[in-house]
Order: sequence, then C-alpha cells, then structure tokens
Amino acid sequence: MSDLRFLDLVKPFAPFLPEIAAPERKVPFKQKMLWTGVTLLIFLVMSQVPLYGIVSSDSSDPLLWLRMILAANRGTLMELGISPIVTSSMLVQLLVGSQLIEVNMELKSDREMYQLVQKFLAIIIAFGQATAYVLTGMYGRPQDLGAGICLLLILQLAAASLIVLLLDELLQKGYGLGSGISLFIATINCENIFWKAFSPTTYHIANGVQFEGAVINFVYVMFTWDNKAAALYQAFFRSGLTSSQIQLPNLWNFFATLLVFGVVIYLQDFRVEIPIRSQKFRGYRSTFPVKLLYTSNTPIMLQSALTSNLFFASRLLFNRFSSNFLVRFLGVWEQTATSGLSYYLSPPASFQDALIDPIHTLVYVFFTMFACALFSKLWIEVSGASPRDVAKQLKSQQLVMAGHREGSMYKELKRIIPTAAWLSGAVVGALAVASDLLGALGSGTAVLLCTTTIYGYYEQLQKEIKGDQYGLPVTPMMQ
Amino acid sequence: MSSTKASGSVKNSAASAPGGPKSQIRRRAAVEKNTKESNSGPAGARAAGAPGSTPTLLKLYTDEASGFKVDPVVVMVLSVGFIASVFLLHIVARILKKFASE
Repeated sequence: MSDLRFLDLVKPFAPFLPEIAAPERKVPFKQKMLWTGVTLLIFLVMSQVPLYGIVSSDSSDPLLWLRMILAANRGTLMELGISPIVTSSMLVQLLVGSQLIEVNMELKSDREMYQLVQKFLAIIIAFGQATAYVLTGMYGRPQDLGAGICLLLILQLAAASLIVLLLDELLQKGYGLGSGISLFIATINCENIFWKAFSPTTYHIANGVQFEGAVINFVYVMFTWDNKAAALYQAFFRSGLTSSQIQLPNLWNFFATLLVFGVVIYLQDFRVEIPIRSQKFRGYRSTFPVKLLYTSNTPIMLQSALTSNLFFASRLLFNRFSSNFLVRFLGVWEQTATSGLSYYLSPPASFQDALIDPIHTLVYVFFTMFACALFSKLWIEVSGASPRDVAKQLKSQQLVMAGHREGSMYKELKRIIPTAAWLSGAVVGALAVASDLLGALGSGTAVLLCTTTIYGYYEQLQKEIKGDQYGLPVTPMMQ
Repeated sequence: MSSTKASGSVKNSAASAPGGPKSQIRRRAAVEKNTKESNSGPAGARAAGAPGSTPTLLKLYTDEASGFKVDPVVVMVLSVGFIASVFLLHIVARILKKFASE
C-alpha cells in the first residue's frame, strides 16, 4: 500500500555507517596476503585481551560448544565473536526470502541499501547482545559491578564487534583473500583441533595423570603401560571427566576429525559440468562447473547463528521466569538444555546419548538439514549466485552453451543451480550432524567450517598461481 | 546551383544539433557512456556479477554504498588503538589497586 519500504528506513543513517573505501587498482597477491595476515593477527589479539571490569569468568560456560562456530572467546573482547554479523545476515536473508523486505538485487541502489541494512542491524545486534550479556550477570552481578563498569563493558564489546565488522569488510572489498569471517572461524578451530590432538597439558584423573592431547597420550601410554592392548584401548576410547569436568579427547575423536576432513575434500570434486564455448575466441571450449557443495559453508554458519540465538534467549528467559510454561517449552536449563525445544535442537552429547534418546536425535538431524537447505536456497538469491545472475555473467563474457541456442543457458542453469543449492545445504547439514555423532574434535559444525574454509583458500591459491587466462567467471564459491 | 546547394546545407545543419557528424558521434558516445555508468555493476575487483567475480560470503561488500568512507589503514590503526586502550585500562586499574592497598 505505502510506497515506503523497509530498506528506506535505514537511509537516514547511511552517512554515519562506516564504509571501507574500495581499492582503486587490483591489489597484488603478496599485499593481499599481508592484509589478511595483519587482519588475522588483530583478531587473534582481540581474542586474548581480557575485558576490563569483569569479576571473573571461571563459572561454567553454557554456550561453550557454540563459541568455536562463532569464533567467540569467553571473557575477552571477542566474547561476541562474529555472532552479530552472522545473526544480522541470517535475519536479513529470512526477511528477504519471506518477502517481508522487497529487494531487487539487480538494482545497484537496492544492493547498496541491502548492505547498509545488514551493517546497521549488525551494529544494533552487537549493542543488544552486549547489553544482554552484562545485565544477565555473565560477568558478575550488575549491582556488584556498578553502572559505570557495566556501561564500559557494553562499549568494549560493541566496539570489538564493530572492528570485526570492518576487518571482514576490508578483506571482502578486495584487500585480502576471501572472507574475514571464514578466516577467523577456521583459525580458531584449527588451533583448537591442534591443541586437542597435541596438547602437552596434563590433568589429574582418578587413577593418575593424563595428557590432554590425544596423540601425545597415545604415545605416552604405549611406552609406559605394560599391557599394550589395554593401553591401545585407553588411547582410542578413554572417557570420564577430569577434576575440573573437562572431557579429554581420545584418538577416536582425532581419527573421526580426519575422516570428516577427508569426506569434505572428496565431496568438493562432485559437480555438474556445463559445456561452454566462447563467441569471441573461435575454437575455445571449456566447462562451467556447478559444484555439489555450491554454497560451501554458508548455510551451516547461518543455521548456527539461528540456534545460538535461540539458546541464548531461552536461557535468559529461563533464568528469570523458570516456572512459565512457554519458557519451559522453549528450554529447561541446567549446565545444558535438559528438555524443551532447546534440548531437541542441540546436538546429542555423545553417540551413546544419540541412541538412548532417538527422538532427540531425529529432531536434531532433520532440523539441521532442513535449516541448512533453506538457508542455502535463500543465499544464492542474495549473493549473486542465482541462475539469472550466473547466466548474465556468462553472457557478458559472450560464453554460450556448446551445441545449444543462446537462450537455453538460463534454462539449463535454472534447472541445475537451485537443486545444487538446496542439496548443498542438506549435505552440509548432514555432514555436520555426522561429525557430531562420530565425536570429531571440537564439534561437527566447527570441523566442517574449518575444512571448507581451508579448501576455499587452497582453491584461491591455485587460481592465483595459474592465473585466470580468459577471465572466466569463477564458480560462486563462498569461502 | 552552388547557392542552392549551400542553402540546403545550411538548412540541414540548422535542423540538427550544432556541429558536424563528428560532434554527433562524440555526443552519442557520451550519452552511451553516461548510460553505462548509471547502469554499471558494483565496483571493486570482487564485484558481484562482474567478469571473473566471486560472490562474497554472507554479504555483498562490493558495492560502493553511500556510507562514511574509511581507509583500511585507518581501520588498522583504530583497531590497534582500541586494543591498546583496553590494555591501558587494565594497567591503570592495577596501579590504582596497588595504591589503594598500600
């Protein structure tokens, strides 16, 4: 009815939103590496700088298993991690996909507004999450901290999120390689996996001292235990908690991680190849590959943002109104969710738990796969990877399907790409679930994000080395 | 004869825009250029939809939106400055605590 659109609401704020100036010339590869390295360094330092003003963060962390996915670190400037950015992107995509926001991605002005909305929303969410963290007593009771310290904490968290937002944009504008978000997540998870496998830290167990690292422990027990068979069994399947309630990783977890890594690499090569020829260069023939993992790790990232926000809200409500029926329906919490919606949407703690409660397992599996497929479908529309976008891209380079009329390129892409998109999402969701059930180090989603990001960087390096001879459109790979 | 031809030329020139064929060609090129610019795709090496493009993750930061322009170096300096200020807060707090205890 009204001409006013949601996008226009953000227009008045446009002049105040920070924007990275795009490079005027193509940035040389070595310089890109430098920018990427510096950006990563800044992120890692922020992950280790403790927040000023907190009482302590020794209490158990209810969101521990989600932090690696959102590149968050408890009690530091990176408490929020990339959560505001990913949450903002998820919300805007849901709004666009459900037609609550009208965006014509073919219009330059609409694309600009789309970006501004996401950025604006990310900043608001950062302030909102920071405030919620402080007021819910994550860092000590607000009454004990005082109003000044509370305000300071909120500003620290919001400023850190804004910096991450700008660093990510900086890389994406072409100064660096790929996307900052994937880079940050991959780094955190690589570090975590490496530590769980090779950590020399020791913990006291009921029957002695054990190394944290799974591989180190394996070597140690094989050398020191008289009973080799028992040592091997312990190395592969040790369980039980340390005095500080930490689950020590074992060799099975380590090999499960390697297995997931291998499967993802293997699936990278699944593709449908569309034969194309150039109208400019006579005799030129090639193929345009549409990959099975068309949208890469994007859907699992968005799905994680969705569940993490749900859990956070559920826990907040439960702490305040634990007797309310709707609140209990949303989730009943102890250290983790024990019943309600939050329980069913969280991964089973172990393979045994998965078998004990099959309903929980089934709900989790189908929700994850469905959500990933949905986000994948929505993503191609807003990221310029839809059939129409790709067809236009190929046409602008005068590439047509070999043996077909010119108009059939779009029809062929329309048949293949949407299928690749939702299938990509579902496969990614299934991989994340399988990783969790197998007990991969960290969490299934984290390993998956790690693998797809590393592979994306590998592909970029290959492309950089070979050089893009004909300026062919790159498969819309989201790192 | 010649005067008639001259008259016709004058009329033709008057009917169209001033200048000869070259000017017309140049003007048409300018119009096309303006049209192309107004319809141009997103800016930047990683522009979505442009030749050799790679759509970026989660958001389209390839367009030149009308935001507050910031240079990358400034972002780096601001980041380091922010981290340093938090460190400074810790140091000052520790010093004050020490004095208070004494």
